[in-house]
Amino acid sequence: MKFSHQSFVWLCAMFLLACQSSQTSNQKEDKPLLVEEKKVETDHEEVEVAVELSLPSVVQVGQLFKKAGLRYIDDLTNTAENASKYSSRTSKLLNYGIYSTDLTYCVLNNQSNEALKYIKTLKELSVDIGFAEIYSNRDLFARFEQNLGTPDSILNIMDEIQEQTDFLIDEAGLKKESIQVFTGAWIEGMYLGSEASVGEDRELVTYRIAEQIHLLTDILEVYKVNEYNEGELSSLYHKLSELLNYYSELDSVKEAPEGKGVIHLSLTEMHGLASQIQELRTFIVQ
Amino acid sequence: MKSTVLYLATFFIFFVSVHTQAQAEIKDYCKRNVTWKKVKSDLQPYRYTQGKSIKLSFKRYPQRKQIIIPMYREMEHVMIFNTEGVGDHEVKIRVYDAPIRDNTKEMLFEASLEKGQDKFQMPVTYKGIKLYMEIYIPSNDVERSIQEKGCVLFMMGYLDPEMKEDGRNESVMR
Repeated sequence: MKFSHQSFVWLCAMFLLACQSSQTSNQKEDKPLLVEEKKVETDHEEVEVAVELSLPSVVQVGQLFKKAGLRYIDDLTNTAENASKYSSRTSKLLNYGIYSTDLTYCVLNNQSNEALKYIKTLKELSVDIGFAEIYSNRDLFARFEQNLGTPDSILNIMDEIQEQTDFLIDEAGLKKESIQVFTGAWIEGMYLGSEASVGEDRELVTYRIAEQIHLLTDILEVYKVNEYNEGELSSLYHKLSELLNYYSELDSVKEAPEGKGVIHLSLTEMHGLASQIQELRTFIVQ
Repeated sequence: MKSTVLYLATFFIFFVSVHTQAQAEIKDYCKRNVTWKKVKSDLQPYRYTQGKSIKLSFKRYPQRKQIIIPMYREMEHVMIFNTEGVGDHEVKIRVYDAPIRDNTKEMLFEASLEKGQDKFQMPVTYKGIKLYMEIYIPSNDVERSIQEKGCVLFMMGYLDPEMKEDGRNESVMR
């Protein structure tokens, strides 16, 4: 057996490379859902700063819209039958979010039969996206069916589903999945809000929509910083950015003073925004 | 033959030393399952809206983490912070009305964490649409061979004042 000096050096170099790449991939998996990560210098010390985003539940957002006067319109939601069309993991994740909002919309508007269809669709989709554990409790479904005529009890069960989802995401590190599901839910909320307010000057609904748009800046940052804006998600990222740009160019937004307040959009502006949102939503559900 | 054995022996020693270094002992104080249940039970009568464990890795230099929390007007919000999963590290949690690098930011709340948990009831009069939670993680002097980790558990609940009147938030069905 001839073992040269050159072979030894190669062996060591390859070993070091292997160690390094394995460490890097582990570090990436451990990262939270970052908005940004930078080192900044304060007056006394250098600190490492990481920024994360915390996401609200679809039930809370749904209740806000409902309280603002969002009415129920037939056939506005994505039909449960469409679920069989979604073949890619990304489309399943995004539409899981879409259906979560549709379920909330139906429950809040006492549409029991539709709600039942959506919970079943969510359960089916959950298997393919790694969320099956959430629906593994048979009791959950039985309670959902038993309480269909009681929206408050159904909302409590939905809170339970949301909590179990958050716990699973947290435990299994499903960060990329969680932002895609939230994006779908967010878009559907915006779609339902804008469609149900167009034609009437529903000031409170438009106010809530403008409030929700502010969250888009942070959502886009999550995609960018975590490099989710590449590959299969690049078109989605691009379309979300276009929506934010469109909103930023509205007169009410440009003329609004810098501050913490939320902008009130005119009816014409709301029409234009609704059309942009509809285009984005079609891109996901088609 | 002699040189081959020498090379292999050197490689073996090199492998063992690098492998040992790479596998530093990890000490994780985070007990997510236990604290999650505890925090959730303290959330009542607020309705659950979000929960997450913010993972910390104690390093030789101080760190600061910022969590952006969307807020909705006309709703009462409560935030619970649990630091039972940080070991003996003196982590600080503060809530501001503006981002980390905004010089005009005002502190709205500082968690008192002697008992490992504190609650912040956000006034319904707050006009902002986001809150910024900052976690101050002190530097760690523990030897490099031990990698210390932990987590802060954060949970948020809300009450719709209109709903509170007819008791719907209290109708918890488990």
